[in-house]
Amino acid sequence: MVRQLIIIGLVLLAACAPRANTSDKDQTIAGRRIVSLDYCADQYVLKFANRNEIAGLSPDAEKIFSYMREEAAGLNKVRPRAEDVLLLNPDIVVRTYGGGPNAAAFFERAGIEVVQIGYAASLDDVKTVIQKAADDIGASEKGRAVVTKMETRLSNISKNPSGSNILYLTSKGAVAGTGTLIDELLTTAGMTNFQTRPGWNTLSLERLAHEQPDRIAASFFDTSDLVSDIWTPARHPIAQRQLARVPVTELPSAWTSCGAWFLVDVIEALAADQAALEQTIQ
Amino acid sequence: MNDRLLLSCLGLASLAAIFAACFLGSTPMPPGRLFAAMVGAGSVGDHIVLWEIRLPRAIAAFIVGGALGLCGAALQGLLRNPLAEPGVLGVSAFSALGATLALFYGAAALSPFVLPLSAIAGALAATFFLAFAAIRNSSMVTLILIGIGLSSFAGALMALLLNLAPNPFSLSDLISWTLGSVANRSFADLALAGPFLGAGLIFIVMSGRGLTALSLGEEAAHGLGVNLRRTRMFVVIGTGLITGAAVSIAGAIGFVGIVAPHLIRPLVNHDPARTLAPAAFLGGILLVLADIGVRLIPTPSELRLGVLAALIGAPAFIWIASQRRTGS
Repeated sequence: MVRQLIIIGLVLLAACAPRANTSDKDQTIAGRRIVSLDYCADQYVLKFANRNEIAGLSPDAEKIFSYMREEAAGLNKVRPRAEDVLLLNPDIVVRTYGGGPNAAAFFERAGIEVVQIGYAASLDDVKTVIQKAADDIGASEKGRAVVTKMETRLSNISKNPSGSNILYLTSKGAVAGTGTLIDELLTTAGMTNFQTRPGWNTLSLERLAHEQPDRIAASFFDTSDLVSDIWTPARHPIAQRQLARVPVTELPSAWTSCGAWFLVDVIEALAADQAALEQTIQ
Repeated sequence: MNDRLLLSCLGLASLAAIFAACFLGSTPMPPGRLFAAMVGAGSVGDHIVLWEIRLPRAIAAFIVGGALGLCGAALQGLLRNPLAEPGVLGVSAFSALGATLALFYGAAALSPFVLPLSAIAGALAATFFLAFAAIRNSSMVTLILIGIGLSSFAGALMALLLNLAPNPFSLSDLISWTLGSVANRSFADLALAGPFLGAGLIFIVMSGRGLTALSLGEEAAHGLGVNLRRTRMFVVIGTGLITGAAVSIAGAIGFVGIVAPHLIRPLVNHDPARTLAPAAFLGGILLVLADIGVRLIPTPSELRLGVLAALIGAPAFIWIASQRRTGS
């Protein structure tokens, strides 16, 4: 009961509140208002919603690990707190994890439509998630176009027949093994995953001391100023030597921080680097 | 027990513990292969595994444990309190806070020395505060309570930093400072902390005579011609430097500084000066053994060294505290 009263109170408060102070204020009043609660949801909102419909994005929307950060510039940012979000009078709230586990139920009780972006464990999942998110945001056509473009780009990638192996390594020393979405990206680029242990693991320095991958896909190294773990195995001299010795494809964090259409950028970059390397050898 | 014999036994045990730690790792290395790697006769990979992964890790554990054992013994001698220790008194927590602040605000990227210096600054702030409190209040219980208060305050400030973590990636990095670990350490990390450890060691060694005299009481010590102010200052600076350097290597690890001197004290007739070196050796051995335990305990992700040390050390702390007859 108390909880319901609080929700009603917050909704009334939101109704009394002035409209958000955004640059798109006038246009937004006329249409529906969409608020995104985290940087993954930001990508979908920026891709599928009209700019004047966006009442708020997450505070991370312009960070280096946000793929659509340039599009996010100039738009209102809001912390994923219930009251702050309600003050923006949203019609739709989009989230993957933002606002915490009770956020979806809370906003639904407040009469706000919640679009929950699903989890993608494979490239097929990614396409499904994209289409569903687009449908839920009311942009089915845009969703179909994104999926079609993704499929076209994937079909254009020529697989490397040599099957060179590659190690996916993050700046925090995490490596992606078999069964992960990253593993599928590596194999789709025509390469074999150096990390044969299933799932996500910490880099084994001892294995690197004995074996060397043909290539390293170095990810999240552009966030080194955001990452303060100075004891990650990725900064150990053994890992640093491999990074200096082995051909490295640097993957911007924005490409892999969320499971979305831009994962194709990863596959294209890996395939292109491998093709260039093989051309040099020939 | 004869000091030379005790130190010889502890020295041998230290070598044995470090040697045993070198057997552990993801690469199966039987003794023959390990010996070959040791003398440079094995494969390049084995040589790298031993000299760049396993040995630096074992030595890091030994140095950190030794540093904490030494600081515990020195603080216990100075404060005449068997419960005094960098972890309990909040010195380690403030040191970890100093390091975390340097990382949080990006100062650590300016120079490799910023991190150990920040950890040392945090440790020195706490030790100076404690020394000041010790001069003003002679109650041992009060001093321990002040230390616990300092530790809680450092914990609260650390929680504030976690609360304000700028992005999802840095949160777990900041937490790691409070858990303690020597995994992935290289000789370069140890070399960075080395000068500070050496300087701190000189201060502690120079305070030895004063600590022995202090065990007879302040007046007696004064009568023996000991400069108490200088002794206090040396211990405070020495423990600040050493604890800060240890924290910059491994994060905050508690309770080693209580357990090691407590076990050594009966063997050296409760002489604070004679406790210093053996407590350092035993602290080192204990932490190397704990790090072996961390690697042997089958948990989904490797247990943190500080967590294991606290799991063993906290009950030991309670036991030692309950053995004390007086509460003054």
